[in-house]
Amino acid sequence: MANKTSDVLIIGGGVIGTATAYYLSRRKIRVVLLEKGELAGGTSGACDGLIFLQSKKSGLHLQMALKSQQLYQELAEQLPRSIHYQNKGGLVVMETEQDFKALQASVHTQQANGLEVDILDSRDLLAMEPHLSPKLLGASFSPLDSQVNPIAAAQALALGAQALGATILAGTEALDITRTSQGIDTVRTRQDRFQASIVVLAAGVQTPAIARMLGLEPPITPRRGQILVTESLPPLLGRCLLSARYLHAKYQTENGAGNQGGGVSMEQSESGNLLLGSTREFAGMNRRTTLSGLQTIARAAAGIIPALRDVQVIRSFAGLRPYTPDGFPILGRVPECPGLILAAGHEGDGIALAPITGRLIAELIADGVPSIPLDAFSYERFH
Amino acid sequence: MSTKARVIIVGAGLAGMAAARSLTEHDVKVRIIDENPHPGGQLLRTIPAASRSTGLTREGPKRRGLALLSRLKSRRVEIHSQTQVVGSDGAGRVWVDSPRAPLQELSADRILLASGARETFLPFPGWTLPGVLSTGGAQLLIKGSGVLPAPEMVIAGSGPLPLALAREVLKYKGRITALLDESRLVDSLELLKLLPRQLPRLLQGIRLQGRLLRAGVLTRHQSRIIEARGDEQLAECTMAGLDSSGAPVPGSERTLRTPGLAVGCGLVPNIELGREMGCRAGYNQNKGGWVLLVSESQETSISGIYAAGEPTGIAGGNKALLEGEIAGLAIASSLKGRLSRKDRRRLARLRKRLKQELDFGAFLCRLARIPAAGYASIPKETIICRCEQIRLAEILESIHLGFSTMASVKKATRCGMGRCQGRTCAPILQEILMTHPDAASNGPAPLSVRSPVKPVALESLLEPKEGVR
Repeated sequence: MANKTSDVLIIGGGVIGTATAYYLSRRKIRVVLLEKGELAGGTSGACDGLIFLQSKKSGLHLQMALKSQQLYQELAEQLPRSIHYQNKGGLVVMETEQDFKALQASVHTQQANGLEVDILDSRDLLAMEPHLSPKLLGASFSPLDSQVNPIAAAQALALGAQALGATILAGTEALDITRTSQGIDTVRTRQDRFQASIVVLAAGVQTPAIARMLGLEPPITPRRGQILVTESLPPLLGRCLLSARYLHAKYQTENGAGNQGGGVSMEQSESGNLLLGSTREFAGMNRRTTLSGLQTIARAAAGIIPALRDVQVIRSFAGLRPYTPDGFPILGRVPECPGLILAAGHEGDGIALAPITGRLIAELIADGVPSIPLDAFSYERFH
Repeated sequence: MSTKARVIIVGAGLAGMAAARSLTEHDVKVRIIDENPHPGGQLLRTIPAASRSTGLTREGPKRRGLALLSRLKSRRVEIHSQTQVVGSDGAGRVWVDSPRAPLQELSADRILLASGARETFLPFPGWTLPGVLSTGGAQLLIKGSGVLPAPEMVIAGSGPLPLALAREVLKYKGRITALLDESRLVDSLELLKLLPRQLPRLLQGIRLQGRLLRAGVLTRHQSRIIEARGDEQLAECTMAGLDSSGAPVPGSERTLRTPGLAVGCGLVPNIELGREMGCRAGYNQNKGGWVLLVSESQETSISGIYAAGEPTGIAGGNKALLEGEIAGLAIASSLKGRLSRKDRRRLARLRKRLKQELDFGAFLCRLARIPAAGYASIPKETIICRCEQIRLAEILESIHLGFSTMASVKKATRCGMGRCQGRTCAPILQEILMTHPDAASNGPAPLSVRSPVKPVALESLLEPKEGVR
């Protein structure tokens, strides 16, 4: 068993961990990243790739998302491999009068917060996306909404970090963490012992299990999102799409177990497959899809693009989103555990917020002060 | 279809039919779910309809299969053809996709997976051209519709299927330009060790060789098709001799003009449904790669789920019949209590015969097996994943970047993410990685399986399941 040292040790090889590794490496900080399975083997590999700004709460949340979207544009240029970033613009479609009223109100607030977004009526919407159902009442449209391939992004961020000197270790599980009063002592894996002055815990839904070894209880709960994948199709949907009902479900945070959401998110990937998502259920660590979950998604999707009835579904999968009680991630240092930084709990916003999260954590470590204050995301807010 | 069944058998091939018979003998009702238009599985599909009714066939497993087929018309057997099990809830309920009906969730006290096997290939540039087909596909075409895929054909590959196709082509008065076999002639003689049990098979092979000789077919051992060419459609291919490691010998290339080429390198078990349900699988080259692991009673790692036939290892029709019968008896006894002494003696006999068939299976798999040098000599521009058009070069680049496990290659390249969900390319990718110096140390690992294991129309997810008893 060898002792390996670095400035920073990151646990978790999803988009958050790899983005953090990348931005730290750019600051010439020596990083080792441990991932127990494959890169993007957890939630980052089982989600859609929407970078939706319209779905963010106005305020800090939206501010971070706007910055993250800009960073994605830079990353698409900087990283050694394609992340399949596409700035297509995004639609939030309205099916009922109720959707219409709710959306109108939120669009005004978002505009006031500096988001470029407009309301389209049914005719404009069909002119933009001719395959959508003529029954839709309209949509809000923002040209900033984008999409990325999350798996490609995590792999490319890891390769980018590696090229700048980081050590990325997939298939390497952190089995044990010990601490002293000064900070974290050692992270042990099957093969080696790792020592670093700072440990970043970016393990998504696995975060509580690891934090528990340090006596911490971050309130992160797995929330299952099931997704359907269609066969590769000719262009059917040019933009990213959410239904207004989906947003509604997203912010009903006090839902109990079994909630299936009700709306739908859609994107057509570069390869032509449509990703249709997703449910929001509390089902523990169970990553299976359910017939009723897939039926809910299919029904909502066919209501928005009627031609979907005839396409083939080739796969389904479910990802466990790291849910927190207030819908915001937990980012930053933990006073009761010196040397530890948390970067987890993004629920369904992990892809959208990965670059800004990585960047802010790197700033926190390198400069001591991040360019956006992290107070609102502190661990202590729950304790 | 009612949502509750006593026993569900997935697949109406030899294993499924044999199990149905032993179950009905013990008064257990079975429901067979089969994706083909008619029961009988791949082996009986190759018997023309005319001789199917008369039962005239010399081959043992086929003859026995026909006998079983006639016994399926029992009131204890319910057959659903053109119907597939495409997934499960992971807790014993399966999702059934039938024509013109929404997906339905069914439960059963016991489930038997008898889902057969599919062909595998050693890819070469041009193997995706129209005019290039699989040996099994060509055989079905000939026997199913009596039509030759092309008036002249080149047949190549390994294992018994190329030879079986050659016999059919001659029977239907087709011409064979060349019949190429990967293996060395001495490899096939290993069958002699398994004498006397395998004598009929040996004689069958010798008779066929004689027929090929009389027809003037160019037959070559240790040879392979290394490229196929043509605009839009196959026009010619290149054959090459192989050295003792299995790599093409430079300078041995020869061009064959042909409108038809059939290739196949043996079979791999269909285990996707079992894995989707959580059954443990193991990798065994003597069984055709990834197989479902079963107990002596054919029960998988999941209690109540059994597997029989090719999913537990490639070994041909006799093994499927034996395992199906064993599974049927085991399920019957698990449902109805202890077996009679007669049945226990029967089980012991079956297991003894099964052992011999497993030896034959290992021989078959060794014969069909492509050596490491075969995979190492695939040209970089060759398409590996047909659905996503992923070439070997992209897979090699992925390995070079450090993404060298099955799962990370899939993530990095999309190999296996297409319509067939890796049914064709995953076994090939597995071998490419297992024989690559920078990837072999990862060991074998199958791709993850997610429902639906076969594509379903989105429409079949639409209507709620109301109105179903």
